[in-house]
Amino acid sequence: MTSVRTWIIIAGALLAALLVPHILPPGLSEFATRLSTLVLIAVSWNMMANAGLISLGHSGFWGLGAYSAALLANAIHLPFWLSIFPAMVLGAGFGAMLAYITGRLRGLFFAISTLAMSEALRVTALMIPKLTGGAEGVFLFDPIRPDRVTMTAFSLVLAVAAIAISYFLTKSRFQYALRAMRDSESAVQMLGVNPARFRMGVTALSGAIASCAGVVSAWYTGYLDPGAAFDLKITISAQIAPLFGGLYTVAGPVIGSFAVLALSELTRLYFGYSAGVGLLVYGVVLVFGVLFMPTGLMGVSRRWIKRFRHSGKLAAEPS
Amino acid sequence: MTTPMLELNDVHAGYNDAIAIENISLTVGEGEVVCLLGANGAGKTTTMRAVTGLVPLSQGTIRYRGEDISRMPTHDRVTAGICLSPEGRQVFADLTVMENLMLGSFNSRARKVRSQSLDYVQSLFPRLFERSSQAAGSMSGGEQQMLAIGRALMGQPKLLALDEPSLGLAPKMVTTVFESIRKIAKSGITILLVEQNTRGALTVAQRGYVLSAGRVVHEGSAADLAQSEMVQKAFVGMVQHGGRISRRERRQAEKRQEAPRVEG
Repeated sequence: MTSVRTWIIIAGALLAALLVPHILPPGLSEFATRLSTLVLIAVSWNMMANAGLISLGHSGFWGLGAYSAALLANAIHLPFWLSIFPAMVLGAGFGAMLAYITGRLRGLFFAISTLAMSEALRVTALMIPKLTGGAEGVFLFDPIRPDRVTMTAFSLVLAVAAIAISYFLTKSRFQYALRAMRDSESAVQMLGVNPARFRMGVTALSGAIASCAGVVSAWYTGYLDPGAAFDLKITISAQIAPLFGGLYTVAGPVIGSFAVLALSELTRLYFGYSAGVGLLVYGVVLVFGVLFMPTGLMGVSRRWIKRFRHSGKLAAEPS
Repeated sequence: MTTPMLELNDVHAGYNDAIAIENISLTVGEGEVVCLLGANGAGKTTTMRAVTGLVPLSQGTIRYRGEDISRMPTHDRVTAGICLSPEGRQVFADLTVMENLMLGSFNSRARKVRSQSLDYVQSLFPRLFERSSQAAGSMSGGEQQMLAIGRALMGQPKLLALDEPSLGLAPKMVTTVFESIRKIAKSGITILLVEQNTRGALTVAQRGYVLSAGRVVHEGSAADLAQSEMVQKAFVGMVQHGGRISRRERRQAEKRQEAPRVEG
């Protein structure tokens, strides 16, 4: 089904993800790590949104991933690259459970219940200090933390893998079923698609990817507390990136992640002298971005390319 | 006697506490075209939803080719061969015409013979294929109706359930739709048709049931029904139980005051 070219591109991207961190200066390397974490969570959020499931609980997946990595690292010194597996199992399991429990809830009701679930996880993490360290947080066992270059390569590889998965999903026949579910679950059911199964599948996949983002952040920062691991900001940035880049597309969340992160860095650098101004400008640009680019950066660039080609044609054929 | 394609026995169903259909019993034989007639709120669509599994039964049984399917979920009924073209068409507006059709053959049984189904739908609705890469939402109402029927046909139905295929269409389009239903019936597919357009429905159906206030009030051959005063009455909604107009029937009468929408 998939062409050889696609595989070559993916292999090339993975290779680049492994090699590029070696030549990046520290500042950019850090940027790359944060970018890939954002890409992971944005791609995962977009995947669910594509099926009409608006999640406000992505910080839940993130926190689960982060805690599983940190606690396993401390308990049995599980190395970083192995720690993604239990995290993914946990994220997928939580996702499937979420889909199962919410059953036929749609739209706003689904969104609210995901928010409640992630809050419940946060409170749970606070209430069992013996396991999670409670409000004091937990430090990840430092000697097994990877160095900066390894960390960046690790996160980039994960991001490339997530993008590849979301690409393959759009090429599969499930894509139609998922997109149709966004329109109407009952209409899809009338066509012989079992929406419950797809809903569970996509939520589990999305949960697994989002928990990887948590794993990266746990290893990267080396410290976790419930407030930071289940932060609502994570959920919000997971939606802003796809919205800004282009909802329901493969490239949208990636472009959006880059744009949003670059924007926040730039405003921080230019308006660094007073803390609030940078954030204000960042916020205003985001608001206008969403207002005036309903199809995101993807939509805008597509329109420009079309216009450019059109004008090129006109110039070539003056008649 | 051979087992009928579809058999409803004393079916009751409704939404939450409101009972929409009571005591519905009907049969559809193999290769037959059977129509359900009645006014707004008579229970036609609910009957259809009960057949396709979209509304649970509170009582009664539904048998499909002799097998009890009363508890079978909707998507499994599609795989078993009951395909619905829903009321209001419900095509996926964002997807292209072709993608909509492909979704119709999503179930494993239909997927194997997808290209044959596609050829069949193309012979029936060539117009759809002139627009195969167009977004379904950008088509006219009549074209969307063709797409909805075509999509149901892609599921390789043994029993095709058509819910109000002529609703809200321009008169010329209505003729086209009934014409295509006749063609489908000729190819041997059993059809259960729900219609408000009594005259149109009776030209394609062999038998019919008249519903009023959630019950079957009359049944007969299409020719009989076309003559029947009962049908006129049921369609106007004045079939009386116990000599007076119930509140429900009055409500239906009020509903009919609203003129039907016409589009495309």
